[in-house]
Amino acid sequence: MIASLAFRNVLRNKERSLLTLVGVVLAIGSFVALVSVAAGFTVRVEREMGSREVHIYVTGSRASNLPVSPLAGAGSGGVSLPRDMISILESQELRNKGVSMVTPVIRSHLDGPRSVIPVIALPLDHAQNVFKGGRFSPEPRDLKAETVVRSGPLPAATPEPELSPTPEISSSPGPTPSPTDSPAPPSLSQEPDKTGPAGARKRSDEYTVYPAITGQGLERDIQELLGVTDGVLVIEELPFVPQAKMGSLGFLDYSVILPIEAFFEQRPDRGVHEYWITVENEAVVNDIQALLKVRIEEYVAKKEQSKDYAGARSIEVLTRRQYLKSAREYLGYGWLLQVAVSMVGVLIAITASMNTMLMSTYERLGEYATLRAVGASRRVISLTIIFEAIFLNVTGGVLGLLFGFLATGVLDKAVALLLEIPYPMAEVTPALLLQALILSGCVGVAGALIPCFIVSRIDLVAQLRKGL
Amino acid sequence: MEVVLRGVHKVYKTGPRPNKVLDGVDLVVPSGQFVAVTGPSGAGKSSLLYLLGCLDYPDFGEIHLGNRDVAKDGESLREKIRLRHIGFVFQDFRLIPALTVLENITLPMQLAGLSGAESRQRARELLRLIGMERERDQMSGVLSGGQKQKVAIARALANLPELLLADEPTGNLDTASTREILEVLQSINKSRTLTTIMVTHDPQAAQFAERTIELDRGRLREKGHESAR
Repeated sequence: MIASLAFRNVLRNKERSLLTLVGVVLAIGSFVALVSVAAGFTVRVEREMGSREVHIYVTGSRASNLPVSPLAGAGSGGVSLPRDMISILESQELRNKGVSMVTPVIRSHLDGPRSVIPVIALPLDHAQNVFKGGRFSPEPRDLKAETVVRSGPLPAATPEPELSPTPEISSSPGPTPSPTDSPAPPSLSQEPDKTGPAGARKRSDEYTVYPAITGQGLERDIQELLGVTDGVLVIEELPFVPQAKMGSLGFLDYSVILPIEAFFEQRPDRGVHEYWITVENEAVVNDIQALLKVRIEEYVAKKEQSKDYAGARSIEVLTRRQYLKSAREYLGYGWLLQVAVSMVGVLIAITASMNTMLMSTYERLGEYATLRAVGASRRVISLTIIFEAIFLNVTGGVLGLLFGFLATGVLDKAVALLLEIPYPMAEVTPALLLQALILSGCVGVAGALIPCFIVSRIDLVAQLRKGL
Repeated sequence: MEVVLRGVHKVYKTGPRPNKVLDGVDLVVPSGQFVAVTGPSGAGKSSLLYLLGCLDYPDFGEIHLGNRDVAKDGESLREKIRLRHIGFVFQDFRLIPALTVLENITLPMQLAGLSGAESRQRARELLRLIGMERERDQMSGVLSGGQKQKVAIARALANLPELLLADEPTGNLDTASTREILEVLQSINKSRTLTTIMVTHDPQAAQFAERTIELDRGRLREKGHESAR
């Protein structure tokens, strides 16, 4: 009866209810649209982490543990780990425990002609194993043979545009690699040969680059950066972002895998940002993690004793779950920001809802007095008001979800165009839909609080004397 | 239900001067009696009814409904007393316009926790009693004044109260409807031995009661065969 009465009360002033509904639709829609961006990041991170054949991460404790793509360059905050630490991680003791592969990783970037290209540097022969099934991207796209990492030195005669790689990679001329049959890293700092026309570049089997995934303009970027004319397969084009708009902020939806040796060649003394450890059996991950902590502590203590240590002071050994948790914490700040912005709309909706409910309540004070006179308790009347507000706001919430779903698509494209992040980031997850629905109910409850308070203090005699 | 008032005072302090509406009222209404309270406008008739109906508190005095002094009870308990033991009929009917005739009558029963089927069954019986079975699914707003008052009486009887309070129940009705409503009240009083207290300024209406009391300047004066003070 309470619910029925509340529902009919909503319909008693259709115009007013409709206007309130519009406010709620806009608020919930904007909440969904804004928060879906943060949700999209989280989903992508989770997918990417899930697709990686890595079980333990060794990283500096101040590193921001974000995954590879698209935030590779932002990953480790310059915190480095010594290169020779790998001897500890690959020790026979740990292999016996079940460590099958240790992958040193440098996160960096290349300054491309139109964008900053995220770079992951690792031993190339690890790439196919670390990224499950040859999939670097979390999306189900197979890297085909021609995109599989191959390496080789640049021929001396090939013109090469000047590169501005990462701060860690010196822009001064490095040693010119000599051609070899075995894979070797390309020089990233080779002086361009001004005599040869760019169009004269030709693909050499002796060197090929290591583009990974997707992105409009990637092919051209790689060609211009590394001087190859083919051998780059762009798996996915992102149609709504014009090439000219790409990447002034930096992070694109593709990364380039480069051989870590190229980095070490430039700076023999440099460290790495992370060690990724793959184990044979996930059941022993915790045991290996515990042992790793002990051995690393011993290693650092020993190095410090001999004053031969310049790496991170505090080193973390994280399981995939812990790493993901850490990544979520970083992404949580973004989520909070999005929620905070969308709360402005929600507060406006609460005000609109409260205003509507107040007007309805003041109009019906005599009716509520009658209900009290026939025996309805204050609780029952408050519930009627709350139900009415919830009906109104949850209806608005459901419509707001649809609106938000559409707005997300628009926002996605707008963000891509304005911020030049050329891939769909927003993701409307079931959890987000549930949050939005609950939020709309909360807007209703919040909007009903003051009317409930007023009705609970109603002067029955005065209202009954007034008449309806 | 026997109704007993002892030394009831009520002063309203809403205006520039305190308005003493009840000045030490004593009254005994035996169970099942039909009493009419008459008096000029502003005499305190409705105030007396609101006190009896647990809608207001006296400044002093005792109000016994049955054996209970409701003047001392808290609001939560008085809500329950209103729901289960008292029926109220207002001059302006006070039906809920968003509900149908049947729903208006079932409302107090559902508030009291009766099932939907049980309350609908009882509501149909009440509609039969007031001769309005056909109108049960109509919205209450479309009824005539007399019909509305009949529905209001049915609603007041919904939870089988022991005390029926009617505040000028015929004040907004034409002569024919007035007679009809008073006959209904009289019939219900007799058939159900329901203590009925009706406030009216109409001497003709008061004749339907078995006892008439006049309220003037806050004091009761017996007009019938029984002295109130």
